[in-house]
Amino acid sequence: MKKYALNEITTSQFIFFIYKTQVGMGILTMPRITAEEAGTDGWLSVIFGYFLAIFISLVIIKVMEKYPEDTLFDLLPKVFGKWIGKLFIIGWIGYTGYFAIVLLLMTVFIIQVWIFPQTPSFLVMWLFLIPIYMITRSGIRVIGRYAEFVYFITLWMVPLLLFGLKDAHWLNLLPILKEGWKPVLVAVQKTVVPFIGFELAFILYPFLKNKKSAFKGIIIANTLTFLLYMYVIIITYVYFSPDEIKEYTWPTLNILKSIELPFLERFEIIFLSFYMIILSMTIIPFLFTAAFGTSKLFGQKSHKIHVRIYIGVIAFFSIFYTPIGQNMESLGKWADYLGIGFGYAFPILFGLYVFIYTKLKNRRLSA
Amino acid sequence: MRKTFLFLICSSFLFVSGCGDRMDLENAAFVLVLGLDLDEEGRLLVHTSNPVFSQEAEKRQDMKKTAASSLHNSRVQLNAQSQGFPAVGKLQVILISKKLAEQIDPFLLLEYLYRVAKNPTNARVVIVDGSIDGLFNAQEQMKDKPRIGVHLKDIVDTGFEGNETVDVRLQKYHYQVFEKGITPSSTELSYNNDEIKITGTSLFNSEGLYTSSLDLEETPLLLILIKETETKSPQFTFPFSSNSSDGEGGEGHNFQSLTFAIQKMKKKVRVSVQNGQFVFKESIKVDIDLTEIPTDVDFEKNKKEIKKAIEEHLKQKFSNLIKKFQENEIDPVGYGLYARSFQYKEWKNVQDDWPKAFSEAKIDFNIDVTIRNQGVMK
Repeated sequence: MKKYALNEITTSQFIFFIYKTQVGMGILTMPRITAEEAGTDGWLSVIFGYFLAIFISLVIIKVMEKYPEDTLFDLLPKVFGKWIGKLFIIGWIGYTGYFAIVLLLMTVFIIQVWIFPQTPSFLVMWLFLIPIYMITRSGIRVIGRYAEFVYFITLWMVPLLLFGLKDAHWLNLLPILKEGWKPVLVAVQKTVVPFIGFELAFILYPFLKNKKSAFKGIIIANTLTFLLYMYVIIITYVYFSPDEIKEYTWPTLNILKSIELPFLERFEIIFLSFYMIILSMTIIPFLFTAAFGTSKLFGQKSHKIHVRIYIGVIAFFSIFYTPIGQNMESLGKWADYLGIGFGYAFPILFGLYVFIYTKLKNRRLSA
Repeated sequence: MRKTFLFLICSSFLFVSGCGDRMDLENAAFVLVLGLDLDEEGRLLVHTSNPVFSQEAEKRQDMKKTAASSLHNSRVQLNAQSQGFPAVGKLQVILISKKLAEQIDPFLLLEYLYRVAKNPTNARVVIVDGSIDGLFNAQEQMKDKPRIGVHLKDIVDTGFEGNETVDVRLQKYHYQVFEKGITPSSTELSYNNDEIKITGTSLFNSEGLYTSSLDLEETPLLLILIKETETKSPQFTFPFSSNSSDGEGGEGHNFQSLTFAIQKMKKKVRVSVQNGQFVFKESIKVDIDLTEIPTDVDFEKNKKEIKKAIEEHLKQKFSNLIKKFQENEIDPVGYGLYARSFQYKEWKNVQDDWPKAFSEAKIDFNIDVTIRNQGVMK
């Protein structure tokens, strides 16, 4: 009997779920962090990051194919035994919970810097938490539908960046590989974290209705993310001077700021307001995974009560904590480490372990 | 029951929205023009102008002036002037007096405008030939002109449309300052008691100080080189007489000249390095329309001659322009971008002092003119 039959998602929901989890803060900061390492060759690093993400995604799907009815949280105790499995679950809860909180704080921080410098941050936080709570508590299928909705309602924002091309300096991109391969490869480590999100396939796979399309789905999701990143990075590179781009914390927003219509100024405010929808769709999956994890940890069926606890705790502590730029940087750094650890290293090691484990088990059975 | 509760909570948020950032129109002073100048003792003078909406007020605009003892002090005052600066977000024009720009890099004064997200990056950067005080006073006397913010904005925008000056906003100025392969340029204005007019383009050196200006005839050439003339067909005119004409054009001959409008343009730059010297080969292909031909010149007969004369004329003009740049060690066109793109190794040696290297570079022009049509006259 299927455990998760009630909450099945379609292939397109699966694609947008992962794609929209990946796309978030990366759009705003990636042009700068890649340029810091590799100058205007940073776009080459994104290609490497993309292939790395595809490779890990395929490993994840391969592992999950062996246990099509189990999420990661069911699988870990099965493979490692009850206690070590629980330890891993706690690690995953910590990772996804931390990601959700850091992304929330960063969103509030950006809104404060760009739109409401005087408004207390907890008000912004509370307003933002209401829709997040309402969607997260409803489970995977609703989140999947929300992902589709987010994709279509924010589609118009993509061509806006083309405004930047009227001041483009295409020569900025030349010469290619100006300093050789080394800075490009160094910058790859900065491009892997923006691709984080595919590892949620660990949770999503059992919910997927058509399991055969998982491979195709995860490749499409990664490719959509990759194309969007390339688009944003190339436009910011040709718009700003290679030395200038490092001056801006969020270069993408500065391009939007220079858009001037006869009836409208400060275009980035409109953009950011809608961008919060996109950011919410990165926070929700992580928050859901954390809540789903704790409910599994305590053997409970419903994750709703856990979502309520998380949201309550965040809402309460946000009264006492106002995001500060420097804190955001160090929080982001830890998020990067965790992302590389759980998003990249964990799937590879876990995949290896599972393959050896099943081989040994099969041999024992046949012997 | 639960739904009502949720509804009540949500609706209570209606009353808190944006409470800290609320600004009432009545209390706001929208600064449309910001002027930076130096007084006789070298202190910084900050001028602002904001429109007055009150019907009782006799004046339609409120002009203010503050002196600051140091740059830092002035920045503090920019922030602290509670009445003048709450709404700098609608800033249209930044005026910098030539006197100030000759002594201080204006970019250092503008940092505040870039850092705070509320401030606009679309304000036009304008150099004023004369004191800002004088400009403000003169403008206030002009009864048939709108408020200074609107007035100056219109002048600068039509100036750009008419190929009289460059279109440099704060964002672009920032780019020009940070890009090593280019030196900044901006709009230049002058004024007298009756009118305010554009006089061309101001050029800055690599230290950010004002060095020289381009007049209304030189500016279109710069615009061509930076490819900002696409839809605006700049016109050039020069005296022309044909060898084959019988020379009996009469008195009118001296008043007539050859005029053409550039309609389409393609430009290609090749860079090479010879003995450590950068050599740029710039080939420009232009399609032109003839708009005026001296009456004694027969177009059909002298087609080739006219074409050649135009090519020679443009080449001469461009070479003079480049000579002027090189004498002042400035590169407002951005030849450094080409150097970086195609001669990266050599560029790396000179990138920190590119204008110097540019002043020693050699630039060849190869101009190819196609006469698209000669108008409705034969």
